Parts: sequence; C-alpha cells; structure tokens
Amino acid sequence: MTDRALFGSPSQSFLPWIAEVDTVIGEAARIAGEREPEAQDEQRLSLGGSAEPA
Amino acid sequence: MSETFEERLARALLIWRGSPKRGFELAEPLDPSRDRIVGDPAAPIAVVEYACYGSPAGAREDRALRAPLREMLLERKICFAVRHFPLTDGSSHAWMAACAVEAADHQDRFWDLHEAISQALAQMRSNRLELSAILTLARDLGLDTDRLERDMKRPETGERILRDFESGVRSGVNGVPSFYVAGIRQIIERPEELVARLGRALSGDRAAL
Repeated sequence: MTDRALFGSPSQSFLPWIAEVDTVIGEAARIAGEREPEAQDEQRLSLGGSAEPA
Repeated sequence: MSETFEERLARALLIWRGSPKRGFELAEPLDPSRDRIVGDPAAPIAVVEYACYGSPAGAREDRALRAPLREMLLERKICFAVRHFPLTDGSSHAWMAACAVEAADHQDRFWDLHEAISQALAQMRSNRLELSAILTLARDLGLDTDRLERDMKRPETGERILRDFESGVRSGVNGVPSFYVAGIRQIIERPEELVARLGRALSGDRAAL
C-alpha cells in the first residue's frame, strides 16, 4: 500500500511552501551538477569555517 | 560574498557524492544544548544517528535497532541522538519530513513524530512519505498541526537541517542511517553488528568500535 492510498493529497495551505522547498532542493541539485567538474579536485571543496577538506 | 542556502546545500551534496568518504569521526561532538538527545548525555557511550526520512530500508534498519538501544537507554548505558541527513537528490520529501520532525520539537514532540514517521516509513513500499501523511501522523499524535505548519516554514528549521547535513558530510556519513558510537563512525552490514559492538564497548573493549 502506498502512502497516497493511505493519506490522500497534500493540503492546499502547504502548496506554496512545498513549491518553495522543491525549488530550493532543485536549485541546489542544479548548482551541484554544474560544479561537478570542479569537484573532481576535492581539495577545493570544504564546508567553510574550521571544516577540513572533504 | 556569502553563499545562499541553495549554494551551501549544493556544496554539501557535492562533497557527499565524492568518494571515498574520509571522515570517520564525528566532526561536531554531541552538544546537549543543541542536539536532540534521549537518555543521559553523561552516559558512558553516546550513539549518534544520521537519519533520512526518505528511505524505507533505512527505517527498517532503524526499527531493528530500536529494542536493543531502548534497553541500553533504560539501563543508562548509552544516550542516543538523531541528526538529520535528508538525501535530497531528486526529491524534497525527506527534507520536508525532517522539517516536520524539527517543528514538532516546538511542541516537545520531536521524538514522538520521529518515531511515528520512522514506523510508517518502515512499512512503506514507496520511498515517499507525502507531507499529507506526515500531517496525519502528527494529528494522530495530538500535535497542533497549524502550529506545526508554521514552524516547518520557519527559516531556522531549514537552517538547522542544513547544519546537521553539513556536519554529517564532514563526519563522513556514507549512507543512511549512519551511526557514530563514542564519536566513531560504524561501518556495519547488519543492525545486529552495531548492537554487538556496543555490547563489547560497554564491557570496556573500546577496540570493538
């Protein structure tokens, strides 16, 4: 049984927020895809602050 | 120029995709003022789970650990913390579920909703626990869903989840769920292995970790 069968559709009041989250997640995935080539050089990537390179 | 939220998430995703994972130690130690912890933070061993509410298989693994960990918790041998690690490639469902669990904390029901979602997810065939399903679970728990909705939308909620995700990436999380025992990442094939290692570590054999 799927969750849709169990619970139905998302409520209307949530739709704008769902769209916003989808946009943010999608945009992050797009940026990550764009930067994939530079990520081959892992030393250039870190998460800022005192983080060590990945 | 500071990065946008999307850029930070993209950076974390990129690092996470990279391999091999180099981190084996918890990059951010357990912080009782910030982390969601059950049990006594001063317990001999702290177990930290990086969890994603988008993986039924992960939820089933999580469920398998529930009883033995609960026993250790009740015996005050361990404390247990959950951090978010929503795998967002291609889907925002896991992120939204994490938002709901975080928002439930404003009603002191973090663990209740975490438990309910984990249980529901473990029974799912699909990978997606829709928001409506999460709200139904919250309502069944007696949560104020209007307040939950408001709290889910707060920027601090997303910020906290991203911080957890970043700390997981720095810690070398290589899948969900990932467990850290006494700050050390545990690479396990089956949930029972974690229980066995915990047992040995609690007997004084820290080399088991």
